[in-house]
Amino acid sequence: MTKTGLKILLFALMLCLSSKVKSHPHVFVDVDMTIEFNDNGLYKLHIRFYFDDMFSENLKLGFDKNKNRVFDPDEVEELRLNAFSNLANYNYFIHFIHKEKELEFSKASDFNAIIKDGKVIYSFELDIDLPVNNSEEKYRLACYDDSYYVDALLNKENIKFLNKEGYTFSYKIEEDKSQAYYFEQLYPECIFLSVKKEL
Amino acid sequence: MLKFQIIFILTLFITSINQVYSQQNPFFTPNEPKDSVQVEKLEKNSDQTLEKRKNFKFSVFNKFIKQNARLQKKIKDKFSTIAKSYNNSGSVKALVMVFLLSFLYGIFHSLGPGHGKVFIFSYMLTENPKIIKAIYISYLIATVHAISGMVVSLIIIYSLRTFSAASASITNASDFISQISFALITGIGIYLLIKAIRPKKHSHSHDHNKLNKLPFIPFILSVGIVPCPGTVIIVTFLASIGLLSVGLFSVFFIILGMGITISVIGLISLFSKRFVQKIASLKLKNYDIIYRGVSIFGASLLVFFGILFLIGSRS
Repeated sequence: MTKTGLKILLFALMLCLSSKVKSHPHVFVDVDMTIEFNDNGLYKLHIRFYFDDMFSENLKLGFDKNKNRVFDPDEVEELRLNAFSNLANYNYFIHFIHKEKELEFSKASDFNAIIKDGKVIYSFELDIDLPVNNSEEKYRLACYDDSYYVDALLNKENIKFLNKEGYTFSYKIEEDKSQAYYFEQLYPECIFLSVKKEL
Repeated sequence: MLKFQIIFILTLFITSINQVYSQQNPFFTPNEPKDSVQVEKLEKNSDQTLEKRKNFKFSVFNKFIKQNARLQKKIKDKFSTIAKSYNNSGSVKALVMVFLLSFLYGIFHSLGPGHGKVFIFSYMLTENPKIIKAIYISYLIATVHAISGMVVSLIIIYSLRTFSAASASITNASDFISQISFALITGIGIYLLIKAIRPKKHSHSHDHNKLNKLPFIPFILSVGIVPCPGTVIIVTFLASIGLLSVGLFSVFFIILGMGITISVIGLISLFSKRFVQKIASLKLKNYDIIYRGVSIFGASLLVFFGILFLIGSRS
């Protein structure tokens, strides 16, 4: 092999060693989302993560210490600290955009974890607190992991709205190219939401 | 030199363990659990990210990546159901299905990024091995990759069973290093591109076949030694339902599947190069130009991926 060929190989080797390159999906999550209103406007997001079988077994292996197939309160707290709170660094995978600004969530609340039919389900809430008046406001809401270690798929049939009386809204779900992620190669499924307060 | 190679490979393996289990998984906590976010910093990053994303709308892989992910999920779900069925019934048919699905998972999982495909592609463009050697190298990469994943799985299983889950959390420090490495990769790729474009003056005579005999076994080991997270998940899953021995056997079938995918990529690269060389050799005056063109293409590809990963890592 020539020296140039050797260098090309070394170069390719460095490329292969990149940790980012290894981040293809290893965890699969189905996501339910409920958008709650209050008198002021958009109030909270209620989110449920349904994990795939394999990652559920990993979580049970690590956190169901007494192997009773139920997460006891102390186990839920350990899950929250060691297998959930880091999602704050990923904005809990929620990309909520209003007037081209992405909402940052400082903290999730009401975290719980259960085991149902062998699968682990996380539920938690995020505060939105965005006022809505009688002129139409547009929002974009997507759920995805920028690193694509987790493949998060929105359950289109399970998008719900709570306390929506007094508001007129419409939404559609389609790919949002402006939020391309994972080396700009993936377009996330996004809820395009329009809301206004009824007069 | 051999000692250096061994130390390099071992260091690479040890530092990879962190990456495989926790460092990349967004759910697992770094040293200090974080319940709150630095809002100011992230708002700024968020604005920059949105601005960048608005102007970048080029994707050729969107559908392919999503379909591959859906397929992987189906295989994993099926795998899980059948593995649990085997655990309950001990059925030989279920066991055979577990191994078959491991094999299929190896094929489709290694279609995703990583798994040494860039290396094998580049190797075939720069060398001209026989077909059997090309397949051998591919399977060597797959074997090392999956075996190192298996070793990491055993470490994880032992630590989860022996210590609390908190001890399996590890520091998160790769983002900045990744960006530096991508920048270096791009720089080196540019250097190689320039070298490939410049015409070479070759006045002395020597046997090129004897020059720089590449000790490629250490290189292969270096490429494959970073553990495959897919293998880790499969083995830890089977261990968690009490099928550790089945998990260890399933690694063999994952290797079989992975080797097929890597071999196909390598052979496509090899045959493409040979086809180009054959066409070019018919007209001898163009042979050097075509051969240089292939080298330039190989180096350009690496520059392209380096830049793509760099942009992606900074977004």
